[in-house]
Amino acid sequence: MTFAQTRTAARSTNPDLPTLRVALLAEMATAFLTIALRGVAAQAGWQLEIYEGAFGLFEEEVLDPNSAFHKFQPEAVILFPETHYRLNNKPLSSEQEVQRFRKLWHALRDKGNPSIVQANLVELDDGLWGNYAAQHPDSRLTHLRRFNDELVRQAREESVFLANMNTAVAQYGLAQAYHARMHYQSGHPYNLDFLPMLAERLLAPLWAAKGHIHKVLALDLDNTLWGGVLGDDGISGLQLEGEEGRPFRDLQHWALALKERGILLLVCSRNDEQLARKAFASVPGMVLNADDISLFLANQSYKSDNLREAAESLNLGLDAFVFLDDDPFERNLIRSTLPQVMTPELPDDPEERPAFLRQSGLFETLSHSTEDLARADSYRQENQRQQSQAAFTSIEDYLQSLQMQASATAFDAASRARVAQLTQRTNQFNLCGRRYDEADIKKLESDENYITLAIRLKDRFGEYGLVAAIIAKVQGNSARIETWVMSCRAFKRGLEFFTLERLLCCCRARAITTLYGEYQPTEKNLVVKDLYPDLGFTADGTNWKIAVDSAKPPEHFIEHEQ
Amino acid sequence: MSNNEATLAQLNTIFRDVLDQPELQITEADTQKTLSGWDSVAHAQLVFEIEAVFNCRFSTAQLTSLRTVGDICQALESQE
Repeated sequence: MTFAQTRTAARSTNPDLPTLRVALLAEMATAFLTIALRGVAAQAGWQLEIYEGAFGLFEEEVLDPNSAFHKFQPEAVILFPETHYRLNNKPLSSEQEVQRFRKLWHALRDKGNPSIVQANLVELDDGLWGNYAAQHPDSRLTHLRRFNDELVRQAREESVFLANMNTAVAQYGLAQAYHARMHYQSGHPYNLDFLPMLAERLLAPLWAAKGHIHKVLALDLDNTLWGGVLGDDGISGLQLEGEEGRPFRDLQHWALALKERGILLLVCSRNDEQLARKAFASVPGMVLNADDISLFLANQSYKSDNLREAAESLNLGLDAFVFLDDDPFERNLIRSTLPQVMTPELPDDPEERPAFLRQSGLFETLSHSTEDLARADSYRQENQRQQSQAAFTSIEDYLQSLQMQASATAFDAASRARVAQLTQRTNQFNLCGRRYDEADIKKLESDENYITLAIRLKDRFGEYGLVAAIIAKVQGNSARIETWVMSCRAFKRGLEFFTLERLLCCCRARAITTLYGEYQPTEKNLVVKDLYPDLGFTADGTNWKIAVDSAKPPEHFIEHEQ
Repeated sequence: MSNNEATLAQLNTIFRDVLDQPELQITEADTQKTLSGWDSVAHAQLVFEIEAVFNCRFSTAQLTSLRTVGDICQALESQE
């Protein structure tokens, strides 16, 4: 996007768009940046009301409760210090300088509590030391780096959003980004055409905070993920190696790294699925394999239909999708039919694409958790199961095809936390609704009067993990099931049959002849109301019982893993 | 179209765009006073875009003398 384009976008702002009140406090003239911010926001579906603070007067605006800044009542504040206007000052102590901003953050928190976007400083070398600047403890470069490190640390502590200006300038290239004329004539150090990117970086955390986060990367195949057209050139004609193939390989590496950080990858291509999968498995130089793809949509349907379906089956909004396609026709089709989907204007030349994507800022996020990392795998596994189920006519054939294996072990230190969590979170398949904490579970581990079972399940698509647990109290030659829980992820697979079978086995080993079960209705456990009669238990007052020797759990297809 | 007219037509497009006045017709006599919106911010954008479109570079001395559309035309001719 050029500056002129953002200017046009800024002018065509639709008054129906939601507004956001942003205060821009910067160490530079803001007239141009304001135009870029408005234009970028308009394209993201927002109109900005902007308050422009006076050049570099952070404290005067923020600390004075009667300032025009506070009267504006900003919903978001951008704090933007700029290295170019600090070059005549002695390098400041980085700790003190970060403290200065921290004070501003606190003052903002106390008054109005707007979202805060803090820009870091461009790490500009002043040329006093040559290469040695990086090693000299007192060089400008060293101070700037220390400032940025400290700023990251403190911004994290204070939940302040960080806008990485240093990286933005590095990616655009300082030589291109800097504009001497603007610097001296307009009090603004940057090339106007760099401003749209700068504005995007400053606003991205605010969109992310409003939930506009991309979680899915949908990829076309032919001439996007590989060179060549599979249907025309065949598998042997596809390019991923050599000069022509390398850019496609780099794009795949980028996609794989995104997958590893928790972004779901999707194939959305007009192709034959079997042939496309074969290409993934057999084309030399392929970086991604079919397992990296959470949803594989290679067919002759419209891509817009495929994306709509994908959103439904992943249970995500279409605004969480980024769609990459080399064909302008397809891109425009998606833009016009599914405007919520982010469809970047991929450069025509494949060589330009990896750098374009690295700079695109498409995948803003404010945090990261381990669940994010596992998400891609669990979506993919569940999807494969659903697909494979569709291919079977009987549920038995399907269950058999899963090649399930389960283990049953007494509670121990390794299972303690998960078992406690399971009793706390499970509401549906929970016969009595008793909750336990880790200390309770730990006691049971060594209690001779209890039989405990932790059940772990896996199938050919992947691991479910520890998904069921039993706690049964032994009294003489009988045992009573006090707690039986199973995660809803493991429903309808016959795991309850396997569990009972293992429990009966433990009972026999301890010469127990009668097993009692009890069902306590709660708001959510209706699904197991008839579990005991279905398993062959007979009524015993309000409870249920079964004779261990004659009990015969229903047939299941789960192999016992010792 | 003379060289001068062609230059003026191109400048007109840039002025329309920067000043957001799609119907604007500039003449060489126009100045910052006669054209509404031609302030210092617009001026910086005009220079930035003129330099890009005409693939030229004004010197700092030239820059301060660009007060009318005619000045800009002259400066552009002196670049050629």
